[in-house]
Amino acid sequence: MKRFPELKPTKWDALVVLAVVLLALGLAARPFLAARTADALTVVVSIDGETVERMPLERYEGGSYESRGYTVRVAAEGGAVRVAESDCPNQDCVHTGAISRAGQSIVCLPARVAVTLEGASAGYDVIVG
Amino acid sequence: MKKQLAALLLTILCALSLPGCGEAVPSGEARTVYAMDTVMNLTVYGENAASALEGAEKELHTLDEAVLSRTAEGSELAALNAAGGETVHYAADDALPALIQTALAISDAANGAFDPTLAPVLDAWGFTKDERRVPSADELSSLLSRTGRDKVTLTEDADGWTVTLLDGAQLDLGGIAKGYAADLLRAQLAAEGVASATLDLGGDVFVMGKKSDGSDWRVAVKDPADTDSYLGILTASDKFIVTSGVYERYFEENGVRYHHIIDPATGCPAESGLVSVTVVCENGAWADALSTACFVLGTDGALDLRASLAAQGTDFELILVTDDGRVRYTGGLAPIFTPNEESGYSYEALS
Repeated sequence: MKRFPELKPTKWDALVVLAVVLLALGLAARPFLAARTADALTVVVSIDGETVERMPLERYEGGSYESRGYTVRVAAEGGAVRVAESDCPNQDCVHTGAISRAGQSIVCLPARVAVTLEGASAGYDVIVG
Repeated sequence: MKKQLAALLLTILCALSLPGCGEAVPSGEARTVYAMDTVMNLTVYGENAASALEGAEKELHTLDEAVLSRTAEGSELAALNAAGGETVHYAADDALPALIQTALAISDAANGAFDPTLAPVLDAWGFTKDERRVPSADELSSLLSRTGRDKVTLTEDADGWTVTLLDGAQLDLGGIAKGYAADLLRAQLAAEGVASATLDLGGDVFVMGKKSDGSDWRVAVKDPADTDSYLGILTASDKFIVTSGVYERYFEENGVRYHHIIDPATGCPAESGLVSVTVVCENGAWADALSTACFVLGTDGALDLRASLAAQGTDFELILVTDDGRVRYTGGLAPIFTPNEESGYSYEALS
C-alpha cells in the first residue's frame, strides 16, 4: 500500500490543534469571565448629573466632592460606600447610611452630589423608597 | 505550511463570528435630573430614547419652574399663593387647577389625611427650606387654623377654572407633584413612540412597558430600617410604585427624631405605627398622594381607604411596614411581590 508521507502530522499541525483548543477554552470561559466582571461593582460619583468619577468599588478609596458651596466626603470600607460627612443643612445624605448593592445610590440634594453603585447582576432594575 | 496558516486563520474567523450569546441586554439612555426638590433618574429604551429624554427633562423643569414651584418667580402656584385671597382665573387646559382638583379629590377620599393646604405648617418645620426646627404648640395651633380642604374654593366651567384660597391658606403640592409629573412624562414618552422606560422621580417610580427581553420590570422596595437591604421584589409593567417612608428625611432635636410626613390633624410628624408605605397603582398623582395619606392613616385606616376607593372604581395595592417589624401587603400584590426572606421581617399577605 502506498504511504502518503505528506499526511504525517508536522509541528505546524500541532500548532493549529493547540490554537483551536485554546480558542475553544477561551470561548467556553467567556461567559464566566463576563459574569465576574458584571458582579464587580463600580462607584459612580456625579455632580449635578455629570459623572466626575467612575472606579471599581474594590479600588475606590473615597473622596471629597465640592459643589454648590458644600463639601461631601464619601468613605469606602468593607465593600460599601457611605457619605461620612457633609456640611449640607439637612444631612439626608449622611442618614442614608452605607450602600453595597448595584443600583443603590446616595444623594446630597443641596450639593447635587450623587454616589451610585453600578453592576449588572443586581436582580432588580430599579429601587423604590 | 500555507495550509496550516489558512486553517488557523479560518478557525479564528469562525470563532469571532460566533454570536455573542452571553452579552448584556441594551442598557438604554439614562439621565439624572434635579428638579422639584429631588433627584430623578430617567432611563429610556428604544430608537427615540435620546430625543425623548431631552423632551422629558425639559418638561420636568418647565413643570417645576413655571407651574408647581412655591418659590420660583413666575410659577403659577407661587402666584396663586401670593394672590392674597383674590380669585384667580385659569384657562380650561391649564395644568395647575386640574392638579389642585385631583389633590382635593384625594383629600376628600382620605378624610383630610392628605392635605394640599399644609404649606404654612411644612414651612414652620423647615422641611421645605432646609432650616429644620420644632415649632411650638401655640405656633402650630395658629397655623392649623389656616389649613384644611375647606380653605380652597375651586370651580370649573366652560370658560376654564377659578381658584380662591381663603383665610390665608397656602398650597404646597409637594405630596402629589412628582406623581403628577410621572403621569405627564408617561403620556409624553408614549406620544414620542417610547414603549419601554423606567422613571424614578425621587421615590416615585413608573415602569413603562416591558424590558427589552419581554419580561416585566423588577422593582426592589427599600427596607426602611436598612437602606442597604430591601423588603422584596415587585414585578410590574405600566405601574406607578410610590413609597413614603421616614428613614432619610428627618432631623433630631433634644434626642427626639422628627420626620417629614406631617399629620394634617396635629401639624406634627405622623405617628401611625407605620414606618413605610408603598402604593402600587395605575395613576401617578393618586399613587403619590395616597402613599402619604395611607402613612398618616395607619394600617387600619389605609386598608379602609383602599376598600372605599375600590368601591368607587379606584384600585390600588399596598405594602405596609409597621414599626414592630411586620410587612403586610394587599391581595393584588400576592402574585407579583416576592418577599426578601433574609430581611428579618415577618410577612403577611392580606386578603
